[in-house]
Parts: sequence; structure tokens; C-alpha cells
Amino acid sequence: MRLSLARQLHSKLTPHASRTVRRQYTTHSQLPSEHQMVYDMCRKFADEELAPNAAKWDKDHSFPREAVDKLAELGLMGINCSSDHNGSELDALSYAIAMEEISRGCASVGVIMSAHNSLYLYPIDAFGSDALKEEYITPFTGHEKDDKGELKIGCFGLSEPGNGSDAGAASTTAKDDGDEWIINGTKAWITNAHEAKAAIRDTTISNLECTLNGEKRHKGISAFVVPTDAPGFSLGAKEDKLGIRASSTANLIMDNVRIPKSNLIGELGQGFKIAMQTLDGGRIGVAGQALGIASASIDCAVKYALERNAFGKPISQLQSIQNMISKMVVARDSARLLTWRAALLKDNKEKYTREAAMAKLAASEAATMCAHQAIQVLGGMGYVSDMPAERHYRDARITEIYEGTSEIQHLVIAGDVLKEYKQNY
Amino acid sequence: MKILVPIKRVIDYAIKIRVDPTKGPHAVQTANVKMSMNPFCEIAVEEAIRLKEAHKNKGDEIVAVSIGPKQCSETIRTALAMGADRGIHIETKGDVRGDYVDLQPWGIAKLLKGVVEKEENVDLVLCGKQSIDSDCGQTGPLLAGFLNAPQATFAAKVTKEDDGSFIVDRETDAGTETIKLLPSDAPAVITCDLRLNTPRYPTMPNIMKAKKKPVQTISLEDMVSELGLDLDEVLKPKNQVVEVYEPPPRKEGEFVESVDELLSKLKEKGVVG
Repeated sequence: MRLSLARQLHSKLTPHASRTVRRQYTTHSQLPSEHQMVYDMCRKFADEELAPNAAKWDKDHSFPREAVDKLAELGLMGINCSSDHNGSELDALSYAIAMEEISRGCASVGVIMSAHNSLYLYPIDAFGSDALKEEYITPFTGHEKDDKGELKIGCFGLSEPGNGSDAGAASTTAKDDGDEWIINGTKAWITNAHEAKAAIRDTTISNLECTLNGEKRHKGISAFVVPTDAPGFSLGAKEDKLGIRASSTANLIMDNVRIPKSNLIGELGQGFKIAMQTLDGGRIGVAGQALGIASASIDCAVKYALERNAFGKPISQLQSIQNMISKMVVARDSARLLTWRAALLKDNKEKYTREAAMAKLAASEAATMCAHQAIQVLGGMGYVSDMPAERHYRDARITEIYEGTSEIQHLVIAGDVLKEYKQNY
Repeated sequence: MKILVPIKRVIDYAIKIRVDPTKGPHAVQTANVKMSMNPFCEIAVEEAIRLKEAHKNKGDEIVAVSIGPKQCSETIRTALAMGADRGIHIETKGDVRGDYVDLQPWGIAKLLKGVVEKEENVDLVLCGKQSIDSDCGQTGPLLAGFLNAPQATFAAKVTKEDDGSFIVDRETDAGTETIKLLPSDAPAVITCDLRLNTPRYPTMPNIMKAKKKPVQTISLEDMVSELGLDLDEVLKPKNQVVEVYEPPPRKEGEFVESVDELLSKLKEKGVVG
């Protein structure tokens, strides 16, 4: 039995072995020079421009406009888009590295960056027509401002008040009206809502015969780009969140909003597939963000432990503290390897759904654990806003919820594993 | 306008330097230590790019030169990502005196003089005022001497005039002085100080473009023979480092009871007259 298992696994592996694939990088020192430069640049930017201001932005719930403008100048708001559309043409691994370093400085700026890159730009880039890309990608890669002098940022509307994890139950509707679609409905929990100039929404086509059995539900969803200045489009109030407070989160309300027929992304009924594929890439971004929060927590805890004295010596010499530090670093490094693996699979154009879900699951759990432990290492100082540990704790929590809750990630992973076993054994 | 910018790869400025007694009386730990472009060299690269931008890019060329081991190519790539156009890497092997830090200003300046002459039509050499490892501050002035070039050190402001001269504000301990470097057959040599500018972050698109910019790699031995120099002469140290040691740990301060006591203590220590 065992021998046959080994043979089957081997035969699964050999088809890949003959192809030229990019090797897996496991440490920063192994990265090729362009990724090293991305790492160095983002890290320096985060240290100099983000970390010193993150606490203030969190306290004021204020959108860090200047910092995001600078981020855009560096090419980080169009990081994977082709240069034909004014993008930076970098790969998924660079994106993961950039997300980690930027989020290490400020997790809110991280989510602003990831929502724009993974959730807004990607679906249009991967499925949209050339005309749609010209109108909704080229001006949105961070190098153009609108008449108000504001950067053009996008957002992605999938969740609704009535469904989050149950993405197939979308109830926003789009009605075919000759040259236009008429959109009605509300999307909830949308990041960048208050700053977005365009939104992607997954809506159902209103079909009088539409039934609610499973298959029909998914196949009835289509994706559209909606400019946020369209008549009938309004925003809900900004949510008062526990963490990532500098990014805006709100409902998008559409009341008979008219958009041109050409604003359909991909084909009718392709919306669910577009959403799922978009989330795969988005999970790499969120994993990066979670890694950044974990790293920031580790930095905070270790530096504090080296200086804080108790029982006659720095607490870094105490076993309890050393155990905590070790656990944090193992969790963070494991999650980073999973994240880089998912990114490399994506760059090699291989299937990466399972690996992206694993990365996001591991990284978000590492973030909450590291942030929790960091407060424990700091003791009382971890509980007050003088030190960033309490902000990391609040910022970390969302990573286990958005872009697929941990429970959904488990379903995705298990589903893929079960499929593999059923097919092969 | 052609600008040559020599850049040095050094231990990153934020790292705490550790003396390494196993490597001889004047060595520091370099294994697994983060290395970066010398901050003053970064300022020089930034200034070159600004001059090119101010000149509306009329076919100006910025050439970054680095002398050192294989990893210097990364330092050159960073300069290219900031905006330099081309790189020259004079590669040294590990067995060149065991540690390329031993290659001293005299030898470096000789090599750079050769590069300037080989390149032809170099209008300006911009370098950092000193490197943060050896802190000699000699390479710029030595190069100017070898080239018989007009030079200004510790630049805090550089402007190019239409007639090809450079106006440089120099920061000295006694104050700022303004020097005009007249056009001559040799390129002007300017060394850059801290307050000259704040170097830019390389943008993502420029990082991608840097991959395609040409970098010529040539071994030290080949370069030396091409320039008609003598390898031993280039490598012979003119400075000898006698000792390297870590600064003594900070001593505890003293508490005093009154301002009068403070004043008398300060006078005792000769700090106040």
C-alpha cells in the first residue's frame, strides 16, 4: 500500500520536474536583486514615512492622504499592472514582500494598498476589455490625480449586509436597460469606500425567472465597474472599527445607478468566478499585511525585552520571555514561507488557490498570536498607547476575518485536499 | 553632460559595528552584516540625477562606478534604480589583501583617474565627502590632484552655470563659503556633504528599468593592466591602521545638589572657563 502511494506521488511530481520553474526563495538573502531592492525601498519608506505617523492616523481615524500619495509615486498602487497601463509590472512575490514591509510601518496603509491592487485593479486587468482597462486601470495606477487633486483609488464590493461568507447569495441587482445597466442594492464593509473613484461590484442579473438553487445563484452573478460619482451612488457612514482605523470602511449604496453596457467585466455570469480568483490573489496580499503586523509586534517585543530590567537583569534573559519570542518568530517565519510559496506558484502560473488560503490562514493567526504575545512581553506598557503593541493587537484581529474568514479558508483548503484524494486514490 | 559618480559599498549606517579580533589588529565583523551604499555616495547619486533633471535631460549621462567584490553589483543596481544610466563594476577578488576595505584612497583615486580618462568627456565627478567605514575623506581630493582638476569639497549646494562652471557652497567648521569651479580640460571634482540633498527612494518602475541598464564588469587585474598601472602600486597602503577598538562604555553621570555645585564641577573638568 505504502509503495503504491509513493509511486503515485512520484508520478504526480515528475511532470512538473521537467519544466523550468522559478525556484522557491526562502530567506531575504536569497532574493534576486530586484526583489531585494523592493524590500529595501519599502522597508525604508515604512520606517521613515509610515511608522512615525501610524499612531496619530489611528487615533484620528484619518486617511493618510500624503503618505498614500507618496506610496503611489513609488509605483506601489499599480504594482502588478503592465507598463502599458502605467503599472510597475512587478510579480506576486514582490507584492507580498512590499505588503509585509509597508504594513510593518502602518497596517492601515497596507490594507489601502492591498484593496486597491488585489481587489480593484486585478479583476479588471485579468478579465476586463481593453477599453475598460484604459478607462479604469491606466488612470488608477497612482500616477494621475483627478480635478480635485486626489489620487484615483478603487474598491471592491462583494459583501452585502445580508451575506459575507455566503458570497453566492448576492442580492444587489443589475437590470438590462438597452444601452445601460441599472444597478440597485447595498454593499457592506467596503475598504477605501470613502476615497474610491470607482468600485467593482458583483451583482446578480435581475432575472424574473431567477431561482435560488445553488448553481443558478453562482451563475447568476456578474461583475461591473461603477464610477462612484454616478448619480444614485452614495456612501454609508464610516464604520468605527477596532483597528486599521486610518482606512475607511463603509457601505456602498446604489439607487438606480446607470452604467454603460461596456462596464461589464468579463462575461455575464462570470462574476462568481472572477470574485473567487480575485480573492486568491488578495489572500497573498492580506497574508503579507498580517506578516507585517506580526513582524512589527516581534520588533516591538524584542527591543523592549532587551532594555526592560526585572529581577536584576534585562527580561530578555528570562526563559519565559525567550519562549514567547521563539514562538512568535516560528509562527511568523512559517507563515512567510507559505506566503512566498503561494506567490511563486502564482508567478509560475500554477494553481495556487489552496496555497494562498493556507498562507492567509497561517499569517493571520500568526499576526494575532504575535500581537497578543507582544502585549504580554511588554506587560502594562503593552496596554497603553505609548507603545505600538496595543495598536498591532487591534490591527491584527481583522486579518482573520476579511478576504475570507479563517473558517472559509479551512473550507477552501479541505475542499481542495479532498478533491485531490478523490481524484487520485 | 557626463557625470561620473563613484559609489562605495559599506556596512549599513544603522548597524552597530563589532570589532573582530580574529581578523587582525584593524578589522571589524563583516560576515552576515547588512551592507548598503555609503550614505554620502547616495547623496552624490541624488545630486547627479537632480543636475540631469534640471538640465532637462539633454542627453546627459550618469555613470556609477564601484570598486569591490561581486556584491557591489547590487550597490550599482541601486544607483541605477535611483536614476543613473550606466554602471561600471571593477571587481576585486576575496584574496586581494583578504578584505577589499584594504584598497585605500590612493589606489582608488588612481583607478578612478583611469576610468575618467578612459570614459572621455566626463564633465563632473560627484562623490561622497567620505565613506563611513574608513572616514578618510581623501579619495575626492586625491582624484582632483591626479587629474589636475578644479575641486570643491563638503558641498551643501551645487549649481551648474551655462558656461560650464559650477558654483558650490561649501560647509566648513568656520561657516559656508561659495566657490566657483571654472571650466577646464579636466572634469570638476565635487565631494558631497550631508545637507546637499535628501536621496530619493527608487520607485518600483525604476527598479524594473534598472535591470535593463548596462553594467560593465571588469576584474581589478584587467582594469589595472588596461590603464597601464601597476597592481602592487595600486594596492600598496599609504595609510596604516594602527588599532581599531570599540568606544569605552558610557560612564554613569553624577548627581549634583545645586547649580553652584554644577558650575564648579564643570570648571573642574575644564568644560567651562
